[in-house]
Amino acid sequence: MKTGIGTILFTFCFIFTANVTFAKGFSTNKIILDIELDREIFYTGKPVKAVLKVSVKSRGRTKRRVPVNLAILIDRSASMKGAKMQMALRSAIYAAKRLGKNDIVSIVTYGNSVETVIPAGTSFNEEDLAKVNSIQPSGNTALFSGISRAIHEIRKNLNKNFINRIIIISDGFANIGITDTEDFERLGASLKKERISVSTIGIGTEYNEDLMVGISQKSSGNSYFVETAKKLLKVFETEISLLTSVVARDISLKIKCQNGVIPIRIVGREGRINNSTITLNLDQLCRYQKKFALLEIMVPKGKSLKNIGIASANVTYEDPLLKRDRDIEGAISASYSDKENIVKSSENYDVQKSYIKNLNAISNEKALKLLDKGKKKEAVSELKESTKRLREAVNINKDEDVLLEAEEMKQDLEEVTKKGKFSKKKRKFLKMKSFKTRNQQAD
Amino acid sequence: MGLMKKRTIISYWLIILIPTLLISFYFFKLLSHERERLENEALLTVKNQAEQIAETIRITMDTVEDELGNALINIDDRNLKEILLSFEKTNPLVRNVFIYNNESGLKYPYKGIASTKEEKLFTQRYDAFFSGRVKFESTIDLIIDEIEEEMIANVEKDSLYSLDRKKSGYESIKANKALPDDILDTNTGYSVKSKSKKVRMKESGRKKLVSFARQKAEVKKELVDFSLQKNTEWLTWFSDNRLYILGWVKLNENIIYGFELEIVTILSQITLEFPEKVSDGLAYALTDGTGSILHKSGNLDIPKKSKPFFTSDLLPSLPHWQIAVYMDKNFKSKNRFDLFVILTGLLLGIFIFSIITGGVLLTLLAYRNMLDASQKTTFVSNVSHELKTPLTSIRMYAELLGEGRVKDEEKKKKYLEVIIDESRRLTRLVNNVLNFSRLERGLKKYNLAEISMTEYFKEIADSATFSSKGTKLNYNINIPGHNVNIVTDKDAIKQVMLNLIDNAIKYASDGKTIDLSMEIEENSCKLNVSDRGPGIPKDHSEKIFEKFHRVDNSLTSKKQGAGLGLSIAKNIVQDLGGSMIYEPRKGGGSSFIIILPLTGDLKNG
Repeated sequence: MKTGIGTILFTFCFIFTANVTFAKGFSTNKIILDIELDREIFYTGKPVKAVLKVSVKSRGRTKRRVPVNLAILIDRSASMKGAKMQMALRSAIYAAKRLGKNDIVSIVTYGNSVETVIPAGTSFNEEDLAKVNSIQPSGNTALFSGISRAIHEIRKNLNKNFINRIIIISDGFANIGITDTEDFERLGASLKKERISVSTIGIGTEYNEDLMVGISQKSSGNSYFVETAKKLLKVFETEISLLTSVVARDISLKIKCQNGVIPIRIVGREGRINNSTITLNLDQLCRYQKKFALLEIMVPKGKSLKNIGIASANVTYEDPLLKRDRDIEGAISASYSDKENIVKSSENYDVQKSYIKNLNAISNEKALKLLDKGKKKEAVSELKESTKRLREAVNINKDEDVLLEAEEMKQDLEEVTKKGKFSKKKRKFLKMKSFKTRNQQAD
Repeated sequence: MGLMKKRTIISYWLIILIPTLLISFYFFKLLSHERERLENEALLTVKNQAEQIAETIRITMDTVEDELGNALINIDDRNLKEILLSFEKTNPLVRNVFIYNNESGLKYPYKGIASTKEEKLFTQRYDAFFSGRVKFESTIDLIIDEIEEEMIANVEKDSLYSLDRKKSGYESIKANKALPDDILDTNTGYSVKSKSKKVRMKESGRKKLVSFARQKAEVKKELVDFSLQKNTEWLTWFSDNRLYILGWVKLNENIIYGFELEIVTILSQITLEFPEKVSDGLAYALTDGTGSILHKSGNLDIPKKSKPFFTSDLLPSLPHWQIAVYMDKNFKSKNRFDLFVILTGLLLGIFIFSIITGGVLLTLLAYRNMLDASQKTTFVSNVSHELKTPLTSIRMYAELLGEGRVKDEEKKKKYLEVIIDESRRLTRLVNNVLNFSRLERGLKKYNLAEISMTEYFKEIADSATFSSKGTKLNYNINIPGHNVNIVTDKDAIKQVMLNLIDNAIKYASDGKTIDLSMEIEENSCKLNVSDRGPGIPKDHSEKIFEKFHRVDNSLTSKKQGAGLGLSIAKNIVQDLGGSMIYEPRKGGGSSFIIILPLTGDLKNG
């Protein structure tokens, strides 16, 4: 009988703990807010560390899209000669032709100096095509000047309602003018304020992935690594389809922890924790895309069967098509149980998996930095911890995806232990992977 | 006479040539000065361009500081933090914002977990200020303090200006003076300047103000009043060799707020002020305090530690930053010198060349004319001589016959024959002269008709043989067995043949035998007149066909002639479509060959 009541109560709690979202103007909202915990029932008796996952995804599809203001910046330094240049030009032409008559395209090249090949404009004609095809690679890599010129082309149409994007194609280190990664990151951060994002495509193994990923990350663009020029066009297709399917921008997330729940840290993304309020930016959301923020929290101890409101979330964003600010709210609560198996059965593997993957991404980046500084020992122990984490997850859930990652991690660890550092290609691959994981960039 | 003329022409030419050379030399010197001037002008243009870039950047910076400065002053202090944060969020020129309280320290960015990584670095960067070690001190305050310091030192009696308010400021300037003022320390240094809507304090302005204030103490009061208004102060700060700019406003005695500028954004705008296309061998660059290049425009590779040709400072907003112009060694010469020298050299070369060739041609022409004139004179005297000889014979024999003293019929007949012979000779001579003049004027007419060349050649040869009867001359005649027809002028051919035979008789009568032969070849027929005379000297073999030319041109020459025969013969043969050549004969003597073409359909006729 007692168990019967318990079951009823438990079922009741379960219904209650299901997260609820309250959307203002429900029917016109472009995004769906989803709040989850890594488990829905906490063990009584002591404060517990938990993971909160707040995600947004786009709702349905829209026929219309926001016009695009695109500047393509092509490295025409001597090293680009041959297939790389050919494919870069082909990709640029592809982009220019694929975009519609309301979109704006400009093409800028940089080598020793910068040249605006096609100034910002809506039509792309045969004459322009000839101009693009006549680009000849030579000289050095004046990346900063190149970006400055591309920004200039974007700014010509900044006041109108466009999705602004700069796509950089490069295969080398910037070696003229400003070359510090930090400076490029700052430039990315300042561009984001003007709603300009920079996507970077690195070709081959000789470019500076820290710089390229840095500017993309800070300006909320995408970053790609293609080993050979062959894959360039495909990457461009991906980028253009992302670019032409932005459904929400300036997505800002505010999470308030309730009832003595304490935020510990944000995992994967950058944000701010001010007492019990957490703010972070998810920037843009594309059709079919899902973005999330992970938060480590400390849930206070409570009594069995007691229900507790964990956090509420508020998302504000701009609907770029209607140029209207919108917001959506949601909240999550959980309950306690003193039965370990009940706690166990309430676990949300999806959240745990995201969490582990992000932790690994951070570990990888940390290990890369340590290796750059020559601290092999520390890097190895960082990677070992990651592998251990993955192994444990595999043992519990038998997830093939995670298993695969664990295997890769094991190989990475062996490579580092043997050689003391990663190959250029491997380093780029790892950097890209953690960037994609942390920013939920689609492949 | 001729020599004299030649000399005159050459001296005239030299009179022109020498001054031309002198003028050219002077001209070249002048042009090289001009070149230098152009070079300097090019360098000046480069300098001006650099100055222009610098000025645009200064104006850009002033505008940025003005606009942001005003925005900062006009913040509604009830929502200070929110407005500052919205600046940081939306303005690409704002990197970090802060609110500082003189008493309780930094209000924003928050300490600890609540501040982002960037904010933590920012507070570290300005730790000297945010920890209270260095006070936020405005330029106006510094000036007032300076004036006050001087007053206290010099004029104790003036009790009017003992302002209590400034006591604290006075102390703080002392603390401040330990730091270098507007001087860059390699790692940390700072400079201060002030800007507001009304007054903009630049270093020079400040000095003026100080000296002015020394004279007029009233100004100090105004300054104090002015310092009580809200001003935006700009602080340039160096940390790890990087330039940072902080703008701040003193809200009241305690609260100071402001923001840090995003230098990279400014830099990215500045790069647009540089020209997109720069001539080869030249580069405009933006350099920072350490001399490293922040931006470069132009294809020139700048090696490390190379010295710029020209620099322009970007004070006051961007201390130690410079616009530097680099050029490679050859820039001047590459762009200006070569082309200049080539052009002027070419000009002068053509000038001198045309004068020299002109002179040579003129001299040659004059020489030719002289030669022609002398030839004509010789010709006239030759012709006269030729005419005179037969006329003398004719007259003498005619007189003898006229007097009737010669009774012998035999003798009479002989005299008459002489007269007829000499008349024929005269006729031929006159015909030659007439032909010559016709040929010269292109008036000679030919009566073309188809003839049997073989038969006609035989006829000419027979008549020559016939007329030589009774002389010591022998003719050796060689005629082909079959006939050949050609279209030509009968009389003209005969005249040519007789001219050649006459020549042979005249010059080679000692050789006794004259060979007349005809050959038929596939496309032509050759008529050959050969003798065993002395032949033609080698150096004359080309010239013998020229008009008036005679191998021995002197009047005392044993052989008579006007130098027309061969010239006429050759001209006629050429007019008839053939050619005539001279060949020295094997075993001594001359051989003249007339080559006449066989026209297609007549070849085998």
